[in-house]
Amino acid sequence: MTFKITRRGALLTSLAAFAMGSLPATAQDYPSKPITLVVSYAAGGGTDAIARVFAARLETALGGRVIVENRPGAAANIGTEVVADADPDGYTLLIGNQGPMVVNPHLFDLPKDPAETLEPIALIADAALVVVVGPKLPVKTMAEFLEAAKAGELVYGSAGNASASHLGALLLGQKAGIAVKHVPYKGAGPAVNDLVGGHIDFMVTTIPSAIGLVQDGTLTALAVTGPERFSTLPDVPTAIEAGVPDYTASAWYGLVGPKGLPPEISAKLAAATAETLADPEILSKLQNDGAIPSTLAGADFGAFMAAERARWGEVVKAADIKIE
Amino acid sequence: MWDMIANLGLGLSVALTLKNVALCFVGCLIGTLVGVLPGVGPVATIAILLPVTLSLDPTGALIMLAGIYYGAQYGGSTTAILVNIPGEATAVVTALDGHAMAKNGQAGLALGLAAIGSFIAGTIATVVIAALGVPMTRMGLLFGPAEYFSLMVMGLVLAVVLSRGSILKAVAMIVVGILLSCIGADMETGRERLTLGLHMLHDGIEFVVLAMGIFGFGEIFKNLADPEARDVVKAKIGRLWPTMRELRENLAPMLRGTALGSILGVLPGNGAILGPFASYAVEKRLSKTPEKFGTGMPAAVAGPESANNAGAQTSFIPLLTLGLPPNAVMALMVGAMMIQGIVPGPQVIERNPELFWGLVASMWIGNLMLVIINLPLIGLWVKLLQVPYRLLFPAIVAFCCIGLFSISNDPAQIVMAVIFGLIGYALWKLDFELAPLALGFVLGRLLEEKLRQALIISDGNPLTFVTSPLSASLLVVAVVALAIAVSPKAQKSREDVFKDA
Amino acid sequence: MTGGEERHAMPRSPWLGRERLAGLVLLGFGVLTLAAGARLPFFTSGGVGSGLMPRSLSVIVIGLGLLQLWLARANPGPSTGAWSLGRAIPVAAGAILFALTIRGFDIGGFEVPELGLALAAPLTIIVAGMADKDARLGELLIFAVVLSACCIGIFRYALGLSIPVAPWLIGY
Repeated sequence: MTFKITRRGALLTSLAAFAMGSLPATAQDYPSKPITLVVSYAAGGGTDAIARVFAARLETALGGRVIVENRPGAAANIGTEVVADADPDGYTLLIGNQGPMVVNPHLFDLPKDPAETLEPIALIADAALVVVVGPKLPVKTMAEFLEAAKAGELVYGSAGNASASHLGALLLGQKAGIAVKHVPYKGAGPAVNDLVGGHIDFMVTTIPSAIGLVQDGTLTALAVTGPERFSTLPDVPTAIEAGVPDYTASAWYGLVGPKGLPPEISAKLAAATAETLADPEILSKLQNDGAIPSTLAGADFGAFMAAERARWGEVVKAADIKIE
Repeated sequence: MWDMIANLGLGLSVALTLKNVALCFVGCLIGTLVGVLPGVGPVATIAILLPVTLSLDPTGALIMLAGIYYGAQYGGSTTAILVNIPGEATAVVTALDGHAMAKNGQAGLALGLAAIGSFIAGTIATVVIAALGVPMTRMGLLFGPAEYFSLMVMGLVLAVVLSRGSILKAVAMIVVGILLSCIGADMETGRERLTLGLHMLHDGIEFVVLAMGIFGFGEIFKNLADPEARDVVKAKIGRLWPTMRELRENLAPMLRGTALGSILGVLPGNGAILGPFASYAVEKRLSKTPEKFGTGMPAAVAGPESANNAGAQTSFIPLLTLGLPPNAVMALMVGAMMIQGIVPGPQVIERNPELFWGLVASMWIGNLMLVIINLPLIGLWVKLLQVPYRLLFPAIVAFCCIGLFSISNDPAQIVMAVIFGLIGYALWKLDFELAPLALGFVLGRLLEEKLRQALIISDGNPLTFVTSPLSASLLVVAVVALAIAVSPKAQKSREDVFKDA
Repeated sequence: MTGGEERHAMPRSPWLGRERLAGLVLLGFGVLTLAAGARLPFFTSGGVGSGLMPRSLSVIVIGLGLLQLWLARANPGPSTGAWSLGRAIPVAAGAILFALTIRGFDIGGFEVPELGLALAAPLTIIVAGMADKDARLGELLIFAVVLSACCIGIFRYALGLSIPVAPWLIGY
């Protein structure tokens, strides 16, 4: 019943706006119609799952409908373009993650630079990766791993070209000064499968994709790539502790909108995001998924993205990855 | 043995609670619906329903999501049989003889055999999961990129066996299919390949788009150009149910299909798609009337459908025993488990036995429900064929358009499917077969991916494909099968077909 | 499987025979993909390059096309019969209309409005439905409205797909 009323309400408001020559949206009555949350990946991926869980709770925080719309394609650049082109009225938002936001500008000649055409609203979550080895490389510690790497080029699997697991392993090779060879897979699943089967040496992968096998002893976790140890893997050191200087890598997700978003709406969205992330249920769901909820918002989030962009730019340049 | 019975008993006690039975039913119902609708697959549906399942307990949530998955596999066959639109690669085989049967007025028989075959396969596969889950997982792990490549080569040979007419044309269609699968960004370098500068080709061609185009739109173009042929179809509506004798005749194909599907379903990287193709090839080889394959042979529906369902079921094995998802739906199940706070992996069976065995037992209950849901529906589906074609085809066009758009909210996919429809019509006019094209397309992608992975791992040494005993034996099987397919005897039966036509 | 008597008729020219045409089509497709993939590298330092499969397969298709032409040299095959593509045009137009109007489109300055499912679906059904020789407009009209309502119910509300329904009326 309430559903009907809100819809009729939305209809009346939009008709009114139409009659008065489409007034700019004001923060007080925002949101007065459904918000479209664009996800740059097909339904069913990791980013999509986080977006849907997040969107469901954000509806309550904002008091309006939030519709998740998948706009996959062109290495997630389509989603960026769609939102960059949208009206900055707060009704079209994007779940941005490190691939399209900070890595792709180094790989592609993008028509819309995310740093210039998108406005940071809030970081949602930051998920560290884990360095794991399988039966093909029976080492127990990072030191043994680095020793083995000196004896011969190690082969690692990734979830795909330019994915977090690809760049994470590249950076590990660069920071530790070892030669590594890349085998791209389509998604983390098949790559972990070949790691367990002993066909490849190691992976730097997301925690959910490997944690069960690590706890069981099938795979050995050498290090986590975040600044701190991970709560469900307390015995696994961070990479820095394990002797790889200055090595961190993570997969993160944030909320961004088109450039020129009214500051009040942006602030309202950041507050709603903070409220959503403070919900213990959402908190535990994110943690179950290996992610740590974040409190960065607005300009701080923008600065974080700029730093990430500079950092991964160097990795991409040093590894000489380019896409023609 | 005793353990297994005790475990299944535990599972049944979990799965048979009123709430879980209801969730299983809802899952099967939604699954059947999205399976029947062209274009809307189980992956998108499960993803959309994921937030809804958060309010459920983990076991209930997984039972419902699993129900959507095998319900969709099931519903997909219905569309393949009735209107010749295979929503997934596995249904291409079902469409071959299934749609031919529908045209001969045997839609009821085809749907009935598919339902009963799926149920038998589902029942056996449930026991296989319970009894052989762990050893079968180990077998799956033996398949690295090199072994997988050889398996794909074997699969492509099966596509030759599958065809009816000229071998040269069948081989050409397979190669064209592989070429079409190469279109789009290269997986290793991201470089654009064969896109002719077109944006809509950048991410490659989705299988659903190709299938809806060449089969769905192609069939409509064909029927509109030749109105007499389609009116003949409408005139004959045969019996609704298979007789006991027909069931008995098709029991052996169902069992063989179940065995093939169960084994291939465990393989990583969606090996389950080979199951129906292998089953079709085996049945054609064993049949006394191989020349009738493609014109509506019941065994060519019963076998592959059983293989399809058995494979769908056993693809849960790597997920449940190791937490390794063999396909996109299973990857989503991993996500669902993680969000619920259950770490997928070898420990699930010890830490959450009620979840593990409850899910396994629910699969059998789900299969029973699918039969209960679908047998009465057969009458309805068959009646659907009596809808005048002048109304049926605009409806199919509308459903296809919505389905195509929903894949990635991209209207260009609709345009692409229309172009494939015209290509499909032209290929039919030139007497090319489309099933080998579809199989080449599906396997081509995996073929190249695995070839390149294997060669990176082996430092570019092609001997890697023969030094692995498993890979070498698969290649031998492929060569032998090819030799049989092109042997003079097989050739002769092909020529007979030609004379009949 | 074959569509009526006419398919066995002799073609007007041997090059229009089914088997020869098939060979020509293969040849043409192979040349097209070979040209499209001409600049892709065969090998890279790391192993197989992105051009190995496309280019070698293109050569195989060209070879199969030539072989087919050679096999059909004596018997070019029967005529392919009438193509009746006129009936395909409304169907293709209906589908493309759906693609253009479901979320609006901008072709070189000319903007197609965003009609959403509520209008795009009936439009498609009516236009496509005109392809049939026995099409009746009144019947189609009613059918289109009823079916579209069902589609909105199934796809938007039952399955929760994010497909626009009627943006001009209810905002999404």
